[in-house]
Amino acid sequence: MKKKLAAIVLSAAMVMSLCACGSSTTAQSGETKATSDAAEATEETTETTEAASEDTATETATGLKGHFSIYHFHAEDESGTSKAFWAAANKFQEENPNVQIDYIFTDSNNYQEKLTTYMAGDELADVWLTKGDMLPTFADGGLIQSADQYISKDSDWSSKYVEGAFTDCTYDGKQWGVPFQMQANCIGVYNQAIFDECGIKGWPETWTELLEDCEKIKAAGYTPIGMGNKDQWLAESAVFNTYAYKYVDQDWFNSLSSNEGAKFTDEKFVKALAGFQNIAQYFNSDMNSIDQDEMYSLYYNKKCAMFFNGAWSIGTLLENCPEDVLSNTHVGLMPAVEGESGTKFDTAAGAGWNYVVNSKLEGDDLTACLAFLKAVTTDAYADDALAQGFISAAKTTDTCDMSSLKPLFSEYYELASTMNNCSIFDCVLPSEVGSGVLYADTQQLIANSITPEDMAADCQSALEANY
Amino acid sequence: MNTREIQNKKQYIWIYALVLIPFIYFLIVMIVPLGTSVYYSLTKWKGVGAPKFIGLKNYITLLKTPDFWLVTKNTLFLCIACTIGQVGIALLIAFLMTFKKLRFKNFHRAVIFFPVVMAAIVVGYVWRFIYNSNYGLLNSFLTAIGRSDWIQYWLDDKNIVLGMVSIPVIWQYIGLYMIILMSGISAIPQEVFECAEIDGCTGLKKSIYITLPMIWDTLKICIILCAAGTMKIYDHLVALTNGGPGRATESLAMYCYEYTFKFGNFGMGAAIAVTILVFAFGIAGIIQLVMGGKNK
Repeated sequence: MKKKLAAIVLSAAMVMSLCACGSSTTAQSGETKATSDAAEATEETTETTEAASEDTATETATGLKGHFSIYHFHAEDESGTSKAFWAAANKFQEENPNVQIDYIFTDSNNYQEKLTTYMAGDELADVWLTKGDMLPTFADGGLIQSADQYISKDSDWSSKYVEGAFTDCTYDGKQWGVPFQMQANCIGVYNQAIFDECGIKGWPETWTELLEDCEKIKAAGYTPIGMGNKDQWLAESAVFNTYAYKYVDQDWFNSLSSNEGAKFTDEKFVKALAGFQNIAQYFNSDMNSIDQDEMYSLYYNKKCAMFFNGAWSIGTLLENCPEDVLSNTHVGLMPAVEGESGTKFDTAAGAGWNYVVNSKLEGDDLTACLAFLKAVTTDAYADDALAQGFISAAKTTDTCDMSSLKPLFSEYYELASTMNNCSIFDCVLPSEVGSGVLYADTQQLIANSITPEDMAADCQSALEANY
Repeated sequence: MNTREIQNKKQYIWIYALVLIPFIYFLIVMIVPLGTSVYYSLTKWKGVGAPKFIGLKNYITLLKTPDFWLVTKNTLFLCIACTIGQVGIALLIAFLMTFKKLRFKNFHRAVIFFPVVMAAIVVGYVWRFIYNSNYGLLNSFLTAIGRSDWIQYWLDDKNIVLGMVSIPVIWQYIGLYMIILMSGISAIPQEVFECAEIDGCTGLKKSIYITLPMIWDTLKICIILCAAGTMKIYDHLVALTNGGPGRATESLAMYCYEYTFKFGNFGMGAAIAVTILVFAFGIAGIIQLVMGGKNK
């Protein structure tokens, strides 16, 4: 009897495992349906759309019809730009019931890896989000069509973006993507209450002042600057990148990225590395073993007085920060270093990610897709993004109520208008360098296990191998 | 072993047909992708268009990259540490389990086996909280017993971090090898032990001179499984340190993943994957060679 029972259980397990293997393809092909809650809403929308299209194909308000898929990282329950995206997307769907959209969602941490896999498997969606460092691969491989050929024809559309919005998606003289955000990759966030307690008047204007303030904070028993660099990008992309612009400028970086003379081993860059290694003494001791969220926790729990991170942290703070900390929270620009060419306004910032359109998309589907991209990047989207604590790449409309902005975001909004936007290293440099060596070495730099000279040489040799 | 004679041609056909099914499956899911990987490792391919054949250039670049040797060193260290730790401790426990005086054997076995069923990523996160230098259990414990001078930045100090990450991996899989070794021990005929006891061989001597030679093949399998398995180590390291600080705890598998999916350099990624395979084969071969003839 026991044997029989065991045999039944085992065969059931075998059948189940075979089913599990078999269903993976279906799950993938209908990925929209399988991807979490975002998909459920989509599925419903899609179904209603199809039902409507059978009966009232010609009765739609806009007459748009078509079918396309979009691969993105906007979670429905997230703050900031994602909320604004879904609001705009749902509105578009309501207005255009004959347009069927398949949403393929992956969280931002795994997005790039999955995108690479789709690319290699020739299974790219009709629209997807990409960073500047992947543009050459997509453009040279003929996988995407340039967006500016459509945007420039539509003056109503092209006039809606802020200046410099297309910088990150420009490659080979063409603008390939549609930007949806314009954000600083580095902003200083600090707790005024802790500053007051340590006898610090306000946000430091110069680097020397910052170092002095750090000493005072440290003496008072707090961690001066929070850092969560387990995932390696935070220290480099969100802090060091902007710090480097206090020593080097945009021209230097352009020259470096296009191999026109500038080198990582240039004296000023090595000096920037040394300066950054020095400030690391004021980070929390577990800087390389905690991640961004744990860094936020340090701040929420008043363990650290300040941190530097991208402007996306403002949305997160507004959503999650305890009220007593949030009411004392303010933002500031990274101070300039005395004697160096950069100012406090020089900040690594930009659109970062852009929507790009598959070169295979055409006809009605393309028209519908372009209309969708316009809807989820401009007008109401821009206003909504602002209300969510996020600056979009598009200008706000006249109806946007600026007085309703949350105080912390208003502060940032004012600062952002004064910033001198510089290129984000890892959005431009080849990924082996930008998201490879530069990330890993910065982690070692702040852990004091590599010298600035060695790091510069390492980065340079990696860059030369990838020109 | 029980074998049955094959009586006629019809049976032959049946047997071959049945063997063919797993063989074809194996061919499709193992051999073909392996062949493709070897081919891709000889090409320059960014995931778009046709791969460009470049011969052994990927391998040459790889051998010239210091980072590759660093991650190889890390992987080999983990491989040796985990094999000695996992199989060594498992062997000791398995010996202890044979002692008649030991009470609550089932309880011990269940507790020691328990971590095996946990997901590696969970183990990684749990141990991150143990190691955390600010609020971690380990440092809190050291403070509580008055040894604050022993406090370290367990996962941030590149000199000790590799040893630290190997502990959770060892801890997790002791149970697995313990079960395999215990089943090997239980397969030894009771008469052998009885004879030995009559001859005055007890305790430790019995373990070393009777049990160990009798389970030698099982032990060999355990060591090969453990060493080859650790060559692929990935998830524990991602959860614990994500390879950091720098590349101090990065393994070959992580390096391969990084090149393939983060950098989109499929050719180089495949070259690293093939290298892992060669290493795993090499290690299995060495173990076979070293442990092979001993009990014969």
